[in-house]
Amino acid sequence: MADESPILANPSLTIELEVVGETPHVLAYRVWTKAPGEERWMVAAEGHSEDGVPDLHPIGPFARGTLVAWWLGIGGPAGSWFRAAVRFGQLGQVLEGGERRVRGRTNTRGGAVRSGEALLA
Amino acid sequence: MRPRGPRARLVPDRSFLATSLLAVLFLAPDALFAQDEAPELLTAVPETPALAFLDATTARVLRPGAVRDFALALLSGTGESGTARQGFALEATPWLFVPGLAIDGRRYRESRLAFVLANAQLSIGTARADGDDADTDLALGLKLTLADRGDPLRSEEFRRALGEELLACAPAQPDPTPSETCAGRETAEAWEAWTAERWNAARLAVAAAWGARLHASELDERDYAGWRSWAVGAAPLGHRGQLIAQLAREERPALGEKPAFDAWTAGARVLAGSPQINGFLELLAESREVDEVAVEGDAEPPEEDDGTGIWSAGIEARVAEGLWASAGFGSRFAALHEEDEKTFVAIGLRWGISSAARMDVLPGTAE
Repeated sequence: MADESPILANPSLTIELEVVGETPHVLAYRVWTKAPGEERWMVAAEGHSEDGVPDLHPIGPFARGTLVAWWLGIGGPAGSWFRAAVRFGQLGQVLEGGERRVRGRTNTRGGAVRSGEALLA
Repeated sequence: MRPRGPRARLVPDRSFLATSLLAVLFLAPDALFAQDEAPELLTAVPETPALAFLDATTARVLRPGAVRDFALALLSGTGESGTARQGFALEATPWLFVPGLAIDGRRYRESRLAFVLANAQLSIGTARADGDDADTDLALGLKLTLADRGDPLRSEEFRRALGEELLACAPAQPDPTPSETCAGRETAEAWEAWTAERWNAARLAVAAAWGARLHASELDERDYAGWRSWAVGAAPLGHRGQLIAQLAREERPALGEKPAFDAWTAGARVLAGSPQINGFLELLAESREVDEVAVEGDAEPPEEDDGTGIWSAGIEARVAEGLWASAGFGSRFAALHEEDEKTFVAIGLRWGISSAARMDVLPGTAE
């Protein structure tokens, strides 16, 4: 079960997934989806902030009840504050409940990880 | 976001140094741990200028990362009666508190202004005033890193490689309790390798701090306590050398029993070698003018210090992790961190043991 508030999406439209860094840290990400009734998670998008590919991925469309999960790996100076966001949109607009912000401090070795999960409703 | 100094991985031949050090411990026990009182040459602007202004240290420095945390931290610096707490220290990166402002990796790499802003650090500190337990000295400091060719996050190559390593840390399936071990390990390894290769990169940083004395620790009852500023730059000398230059200025009004004074300090250090063993030459000059103060009775007026110039030269080698041995000569011979180092004289040379190396690059910025 998703542990965060649902994302209200139109099941007939593609979802625009965007990963945005707001601090100078290096970001890597992987996003999965799991259709209703399925047991397996499928990778929907992955990449990192420095791969030369825009961090905006069209994914889906997905049926209502699909679960979406994300993982962010962050690298930078040890003990530094970072901010980033994972955004889900359709037709150029961020969906209701579709902006998931992450923030915190890197650990003593300069790394951090954030993850989350939500239900498409 | 400043990289830490390189940590040497190679250990030079230690037998001679270890034998020599042991020998002089027996030959010159009375000279052990004699410390100079002369000013130190800075290899970096102070990490927390407000505390440097106060000549204070504290184990706990609050580092808020959001407006709310910043406000709470400031509140924690005052007591219930509205007076300043002594021993309070706060360090913050101001741009993080500007709503809507984002400095991502691309802007950080491509815009000098974004780089300077991302590395700007504001600090606030308090300490008990000399001579009166109830008074508190308060200082506000600002540190700016204007350039750093050794900053990994300004390198496209470093960022791309780290991005690949971080992506390799991603789990195959969603993990409700993800570990930071892999991300931390990959970041630290990449960071250390990068900075070790660029230990002598060009850097320039400035810092300043202003102070006030709060009578009875009341924020409304204050006297201006002067200011200090620092500028430290470093430039590579080929692949195996580095020049570090320092300029500092301090102006203090008469406060309590202390007379007004102002001072200039200028210094330079040249290093050649490697992060494991190196030779160095350093020069440091200070010009200080102390205002005359009225003296009661037959007491002698305080001496005016016209200025001092000191120099030293020698070699330094890493003998173990976190342990540096050095030998040198000159009008003064001391190392980077006087609290970490002990020196003694033997065989015509002054020997030193330190927990830090002169080869260390300028520590700490962008956070």
